[in-house]
Amino acid sequence: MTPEEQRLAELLGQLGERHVATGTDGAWLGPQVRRARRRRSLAAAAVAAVAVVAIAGGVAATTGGPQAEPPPPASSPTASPSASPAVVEPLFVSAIGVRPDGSGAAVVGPCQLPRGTCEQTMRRTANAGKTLDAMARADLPVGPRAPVPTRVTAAGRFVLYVWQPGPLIAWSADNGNTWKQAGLDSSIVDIDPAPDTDSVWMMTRACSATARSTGCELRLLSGRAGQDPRSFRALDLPVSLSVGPVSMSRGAGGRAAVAVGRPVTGGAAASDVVYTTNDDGGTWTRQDLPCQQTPADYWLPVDVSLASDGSVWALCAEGTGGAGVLRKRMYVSDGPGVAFRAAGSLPARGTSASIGAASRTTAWVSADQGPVMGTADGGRTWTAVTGDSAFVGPVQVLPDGTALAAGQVDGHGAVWIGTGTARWTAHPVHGPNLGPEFSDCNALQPGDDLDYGSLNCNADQVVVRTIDCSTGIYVHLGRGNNGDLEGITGVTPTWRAAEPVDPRYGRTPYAFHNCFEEEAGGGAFVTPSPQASGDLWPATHDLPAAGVCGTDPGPFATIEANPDVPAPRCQIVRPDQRLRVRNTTDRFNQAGEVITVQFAGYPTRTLAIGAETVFDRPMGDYLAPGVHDVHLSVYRGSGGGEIWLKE
Amino acid sequence: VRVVGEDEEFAAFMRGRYAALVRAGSLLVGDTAAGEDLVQTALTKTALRWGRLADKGAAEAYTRTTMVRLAGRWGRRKWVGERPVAVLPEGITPDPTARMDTADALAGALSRLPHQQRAVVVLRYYEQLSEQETAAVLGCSVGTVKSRASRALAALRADGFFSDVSPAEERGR
Repeated sequence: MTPEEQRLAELLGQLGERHVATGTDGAWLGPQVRRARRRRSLAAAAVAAVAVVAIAGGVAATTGGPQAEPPPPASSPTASPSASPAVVEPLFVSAIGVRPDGSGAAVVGPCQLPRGTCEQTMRRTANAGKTLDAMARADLPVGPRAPVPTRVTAAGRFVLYVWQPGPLIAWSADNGNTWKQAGLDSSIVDIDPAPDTDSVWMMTRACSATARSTGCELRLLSGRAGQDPRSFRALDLPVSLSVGPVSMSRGAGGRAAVAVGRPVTGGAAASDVVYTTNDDGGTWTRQDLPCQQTPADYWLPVDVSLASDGSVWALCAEGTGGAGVLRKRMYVSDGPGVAFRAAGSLPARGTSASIGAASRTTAWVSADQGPVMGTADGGRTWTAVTGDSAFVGPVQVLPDGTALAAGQVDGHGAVWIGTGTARWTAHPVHGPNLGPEFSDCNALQPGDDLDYGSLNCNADQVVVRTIDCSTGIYVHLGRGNNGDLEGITGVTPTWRAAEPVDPRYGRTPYAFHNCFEEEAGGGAFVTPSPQASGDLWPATHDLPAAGVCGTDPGPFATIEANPDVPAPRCQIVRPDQRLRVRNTTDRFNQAGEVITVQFAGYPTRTLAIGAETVFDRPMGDYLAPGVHDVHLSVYRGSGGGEIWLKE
Repeated sequence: VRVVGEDEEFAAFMRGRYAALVRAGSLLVGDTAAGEDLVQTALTKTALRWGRLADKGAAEAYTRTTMVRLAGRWGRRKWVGERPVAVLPEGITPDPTARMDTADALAGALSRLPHQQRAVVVLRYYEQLSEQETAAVLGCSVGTVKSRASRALAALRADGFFSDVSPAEERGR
């Protein structure tokens, strides 16, 4: 290196020392990557949404000067049945948890956990997984203490636990809107709420390096739905150490069953056992479980299920689970203290397995792949009740005998639901308001459940409302003069009869659709109240992804859609400011392009090169504090502007 | 959502290299905040492609390449707003502020260099990459790196940066 170069290196070193990073903890990374992944995964949907805007004619298209909001409804839309069909990327259900009434939640994403790595979202169900609806602000927890969301347990009325076999757990007491998370000092094996009270049990297991000989420490913990799991109290179990796995199942009336593989008593591993209780763990009855048939075997109990008639089913598998494929044997006991009897066997398939029982005659077994197998004759015969599937989640059984499991059908995620040994029905999960249900609106009937939203009808009008709360794509289809057809393909003009629209919907800007509202029967949304706090459009994030945010002292907060990135990329705004977006994609000697703008649930706006649009209301009137994304199509897949309302 | 495995691996990489990347990124764009923004954007792109990086050891090089490319585009943007320092020091004096003055002047001089020359300066003389490594990051030939470095040095020389380097020393190269 020459002296000049050495001098330059020295000066650069001095200069470099000045630049001290502030974000060394990487806290920005999770949301930023998450957003980028979401944008990428929604790219196809965004393209489709742009395409269907054309269906709505002048509803969203504006290419002139400042545009007022909300835009006037289209008086005579020209729906085109031949519009391009929406592109729907595969979605998978990686976990689902339902309450006895069928309500619950599922983890949905473009890959199958735990095998893949991708952005996951939470969907709500009111019908045991038949339909999975969007949940506003229901981002799954993130951070170093967030579990991989491979298990969902729904408890109480609005409580959700997201966890994984391991020490990490997240819980929400408001149906997924807010989360707390923690890492426990032992691994969670199972979480099971009582079907008739708000009691929740959690089984944990802590293994030392010598666990193979001394066993792992078992702890059965009890708490209330929504309570911090770290403050659960310990229940007495007759055994505190086991070499093999442990599982549990709870029933109504304080009944429960716990299967313990190779309990350690007197310093040595004993044979497998099932403990049952009828008084919420006050007293336990022991029953041997004959998983191991010969000394040469190494079979262990991997799951237990308590049926509503008091019978107990146990599933034994070859090996320890989690390694290699498992052959399976089933056993059933008619009740506490009654000996287990063999109830069939199943060939090797999958590396983990679960059992769910509806009665002493009816039960189902799933592995993590292959069909779900069922019996209706006490285990004498087992038949496949689902198609072959590359993924199957644990079987859950509702009090009415309905069983369900997450799975796949035709390469897409689905929830399998059925009873007995009749073929279960696969309910595929669909992307944001682009499911096949919308392909023919004339086929919709009052009371129909859509895959994503709801259908409200009365004698005078038919209104379909659906919303993707993560993207703001909204569909309002009605026999009224405010119905717009965004997001719907194959819509015919007959849906545009000039009947008066329900004033509730006419006055409620759909931009402020309240995703928090509770569902009434039939999956229908309750009309949001304009006075409700939820009328503010929820922020997407608490903090911006951009490292630097600008401000604008004037009455408008302006975002210019420059090539590559918006300017500014992030804007701190005042509540009295209005958002203005300019299409400046032709700067820097670029050709420029027509862009679309999506913001806070407003209908998508189209901007010609050089045009601008103004979102006419002060942002404080309709935005909740926090960071709101301004989706600009020019940055497809790589971001947009951020509006940060701090107050 | 955070999913363990690859994300953990990436997070470890990010935590280990973040500060250094910010220093380099700040030199590329002339400002710490913008540099941090640049690095975060580049790291986000790296994170998105982490699963497809066969050699995780190349992640830093990938990130650095992304940073250089982004910085090149950012230079066209109004909002980045580079802040060159117009006033050069009158001369090199041994007063206590000289070190700061010189660094300020260098920041200004760097900002006046064309992006590709500035990238070469940062990669070669701050990151201490070899000419071959620099060429790999920039996606150009070694000869191009040499010529850009030569032009950059000439420009900095014209700004008086090497006046304290004696001609004898220069002749000794």
